[in-house]
Amino acid sequence: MPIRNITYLVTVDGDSVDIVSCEVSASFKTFVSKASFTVYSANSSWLGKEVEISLGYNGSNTKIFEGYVDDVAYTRLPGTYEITCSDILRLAEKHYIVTDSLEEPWSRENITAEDLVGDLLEEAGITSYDGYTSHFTFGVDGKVEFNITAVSDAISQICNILATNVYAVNGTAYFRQTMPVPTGSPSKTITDYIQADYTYGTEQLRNKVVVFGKKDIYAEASESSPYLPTGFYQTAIVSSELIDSQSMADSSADYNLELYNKLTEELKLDIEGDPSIFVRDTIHVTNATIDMDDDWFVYSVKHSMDDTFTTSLYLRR
Amino acid sequence: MYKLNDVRIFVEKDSGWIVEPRKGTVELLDTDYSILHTAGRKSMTRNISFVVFSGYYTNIVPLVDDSSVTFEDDAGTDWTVTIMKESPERLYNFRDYYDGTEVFRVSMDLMRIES
Repeated sequence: MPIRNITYLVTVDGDSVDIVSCEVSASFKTFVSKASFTVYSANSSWLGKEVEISLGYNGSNTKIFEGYVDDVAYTRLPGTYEITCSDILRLAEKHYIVTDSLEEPWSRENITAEDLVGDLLEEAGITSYDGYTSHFTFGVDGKVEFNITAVSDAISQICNILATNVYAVNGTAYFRQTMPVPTGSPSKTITDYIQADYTYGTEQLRNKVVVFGKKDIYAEASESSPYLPTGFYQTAIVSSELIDSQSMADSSADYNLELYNKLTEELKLDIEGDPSIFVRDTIHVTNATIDMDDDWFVYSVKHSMDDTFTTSLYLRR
Repeated sequence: MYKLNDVRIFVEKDSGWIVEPRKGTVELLDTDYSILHTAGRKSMTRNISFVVFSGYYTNIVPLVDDSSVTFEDDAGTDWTVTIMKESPERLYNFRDYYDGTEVFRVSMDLMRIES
């Protein structure tokens, strides 16, 4: 029986704290990653302070979360504090774009998607940012305008058009077009598991995408699916005033068709805690009993630590 | 000589420090082994049983409200403890010898406070 000592390093505002348990979760589609931990001693001055969480074995820890304290909740009995934290994108969720006049909303013209997302994040005070070159320009035919809306909602509109994602890693926000499919060499191979649950279905399959934009802009893309009856189309609709050119509408239809026109294969896997697996990784799962020898995209990951350390993975391909 | 906050107690039984590690088993399917995770240990505990010939209500009962009590063991070592549980038992036959004095046998669970 292998024996491993669970070790951790949790810091609040740079000071290490003793914890009873902790949980860190992140998901491909979830804008903000969350963490929570339980301690015997805390105070309200922790609110808004920087938090880092590292987990591992025998003193070899891996940082799995960096963010800020949202809440400090005391429970009497047993007299413990539950600390909940979010990564830096919480600022984008909390910050509303409000100008001093309803007639003059926040706007940009002739701006690339990556710069637009960068400007929006800057509104929320997030300056550590890295956007990929999207080759998309917004505000070509009139201004892109946002008002009385959360920065995260504004960014979600852009991401829904371009099938892109915004996420944070170690305090930096990234804007990327990542499809939830395994890509490149797997970062690691998993052979042992605590529980496995494999499902596949067409519920989330969309083999037709219709895009509506400004004025009369319209585009559609479709492909027949081997998993649906012949000639049958399950349709997804993208509709936004931000789409102001035909080429953008065409690309949006193509990208979203690529994103959604596939069988949803999901593997839920509980494994012994592994802090080196992150959401958006590609990993390999091989196990004869569940007849598995494939690469998978890490769609969501949850690390839980108390007396044991386990990792729950939600994989797709 | 055993003492609780400098009050002498006559110990009949002493468990010594009990150490309980926090260990959890991770059962992996389709393997011929499990994994044992060790996540530190709980605070040390100790159970003592002693007789109080006089001053139970004055000297012993108030200790329960103290979060920090000094426990001196028979080796003369001082430990900082908190009293987790205190169960008294009145001993009537002793009153024959200590007329008018209430004699108690006390069982006490201590938890060591470590910095």
